[in-house]
Amino acid sequence: MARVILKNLWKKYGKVEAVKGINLEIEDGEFVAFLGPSGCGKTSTLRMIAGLEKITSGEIYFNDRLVNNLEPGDRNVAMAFEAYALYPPMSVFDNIAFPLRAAKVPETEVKRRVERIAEILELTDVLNQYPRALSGGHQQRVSLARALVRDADVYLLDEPISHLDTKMRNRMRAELKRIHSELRKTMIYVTHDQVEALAMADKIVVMNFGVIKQVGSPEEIYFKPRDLFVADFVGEPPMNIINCSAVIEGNSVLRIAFESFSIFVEDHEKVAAASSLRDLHLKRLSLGIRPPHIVILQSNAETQNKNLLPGYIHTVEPLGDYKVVQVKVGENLFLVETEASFKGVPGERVCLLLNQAHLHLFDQESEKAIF
Amino acid sequence: MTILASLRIVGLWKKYGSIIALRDVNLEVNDGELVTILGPSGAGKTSLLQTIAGVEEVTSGEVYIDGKLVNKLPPAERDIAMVFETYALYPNKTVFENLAFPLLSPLRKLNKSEVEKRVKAVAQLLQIDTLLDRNVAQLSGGQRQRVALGRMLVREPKLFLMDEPIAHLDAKLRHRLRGELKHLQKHIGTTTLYTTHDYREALGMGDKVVVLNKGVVLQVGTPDEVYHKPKNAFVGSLIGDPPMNLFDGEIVAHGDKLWVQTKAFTSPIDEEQAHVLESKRSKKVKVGLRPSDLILSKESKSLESKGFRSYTAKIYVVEPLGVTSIVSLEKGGLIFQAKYKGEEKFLIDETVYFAFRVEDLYFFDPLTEENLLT
Repeated sequence: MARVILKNLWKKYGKVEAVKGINLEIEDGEFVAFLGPSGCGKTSTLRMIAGLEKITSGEIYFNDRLVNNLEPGDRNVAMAFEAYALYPPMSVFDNIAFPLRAAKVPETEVKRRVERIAEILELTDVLNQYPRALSGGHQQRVSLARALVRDADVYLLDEPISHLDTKMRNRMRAELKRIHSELRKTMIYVTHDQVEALAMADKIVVMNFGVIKQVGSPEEIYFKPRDLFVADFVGEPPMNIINCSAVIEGNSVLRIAFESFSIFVEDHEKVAAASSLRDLHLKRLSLGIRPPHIVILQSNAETQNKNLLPGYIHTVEPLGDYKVVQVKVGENLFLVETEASFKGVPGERVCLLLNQAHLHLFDQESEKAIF
Repeated sequence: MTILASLRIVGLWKKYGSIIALRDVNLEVNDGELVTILGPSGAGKTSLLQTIAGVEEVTSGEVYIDGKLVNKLPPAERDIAMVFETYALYPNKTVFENLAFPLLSPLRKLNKSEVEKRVKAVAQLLQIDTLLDRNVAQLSGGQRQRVALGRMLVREPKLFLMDEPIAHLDAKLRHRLRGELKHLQKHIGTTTLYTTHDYREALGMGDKVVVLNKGVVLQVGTPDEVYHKPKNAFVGSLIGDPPMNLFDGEIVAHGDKLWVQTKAFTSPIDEEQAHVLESKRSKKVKVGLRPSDLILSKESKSLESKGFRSYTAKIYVVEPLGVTSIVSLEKGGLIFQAKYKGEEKFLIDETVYFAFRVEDLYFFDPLTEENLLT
């Protein structure tokens, strides 16, 4: 049972600032993903929580207890890292059993727990083998099993399924989430893969250059990114982000313009959010819209709609149950995710209609979302 | 820049000692086509490209380029350009020097202004014309990738061979480059073979997809064909994410109608399919159902009102991926997956209803895994 609280946490390696004063509360039993590109500080943060890395300044609490000076072994954390660190002379069974035996768990209980976790992680067939005989993906699952078999307060997992092939990774993603829902223990999971973070976490912490960019549920991170970095980093195919400008017309219409095109937004909240900015009309802005939130119109049925963006089809990629279509509007390319039954061909003239409920506007200077 | 070529491979075998890398490969590629070669690692994709390029000798069989047998020709005389996953650019040279390099071969006899003209044309096409004076070491992964492509394009070869050229780039960049490469290839019109282990690249880019496994060509078809009419269960589950659900099943007769029975559902069989499956009566089959063909609801009524037969299952886990969620379902000890785009919030262990159109079922032989309907 542990809440984990980070207060103004810093990590410097010489002059390099890896983690720059982050504050975070992780609830007891929560599955939290630290998401970001390499070098964003996610692993340094995890290693400080584990006690493997000295804290430069700031505090880490497990519940009400300051753990800054506690040895890793005294924190009751279970860890699985990208590097497997298995014991080569021990069988897979003995590797997984090791932390249980060290904790003097009775042997019948050891056997039961090892066999159970091995079954979930699909390791039953290799329990008697030695690590060196296994593939990287297998070894990584053994390392993960060794962490999950323990009865710890906090589980710290750093890219624990990164070396698995796609199919096994997808299966393990579901299994890990399922294990968490049964254990209800605090889990902190580090990944650079936005799909993993969205799929598994209760709460995602997006990091870049040592700072937290956003904390939120998968839905908040995907549908309401707070800045350009989060918007661009999360989502596949990636969000369309287009340079634009904007003005308020009358009192109630926001006109967003790029090249020779305009979109008129009348949604009250969006107009209000844009109106509250000083010198809106002078700002360099970015319009953001995700590929599934654009409709391609092939007929002239909606020519009355002044929000149509005329263009032509650049490429069509059939991907089985859906298609990704690139549409060129002026000099800008829009990625659109559409039904598998879509029949357009390259060169064909079409119009795009953006779903305004999912339209985003960013200030390029502050990189913050206006809406 | 349009030079057309075609490729024909007849009965190609490649062995490394006792290991068979390619087993009787036959393939025809038409002028200007982009053919993707899809397979897991170890399938023989790279061996295939290398034997075409002449980097590896064929063990037996024939390779024709433009109707001409090239088995005995050294790589340099085959007029082929190859891009690998690792680009092997010259890091201390500028983009211009890297692009110009293949043109400086004494065999080419191009003068300086011709070289400059070609390099600039290619750079413009790839939108790297503003980077010509930069050192390659200063470029991003995506930019380097374009330089590598450019170096291939300036040569104006008969055939492009691309070996997982964007596999190591991040997912976002891959999405953009896929479309860009496809557009570019159509624009230039040079016949291209492109290997990948990512089914999205194979389907998204290819005019034709070749599915390769363990050195054997399992299927050649349009993206639509390999997705909708997989030759076997391997192809079915290689293409699609999450992969096709496979159930052990049995064909049973209820009255004069054929049904299929699995641990997850017992469903009537589509009449057209039943006709073909008549001989499988009382026999075991492997049943395939794509996650995107599974329809989910909290209520059976909403499914049944649309004419579906509905089945119960328990929610095992839900993975929200933005607009789409992947829902894992549990029934009779089986876990299977659905792609869900609706608004309902499913809870773990909750009982829900699923349905599908009977014509969306696939039937495979339980032993050979051959598709019984194609």
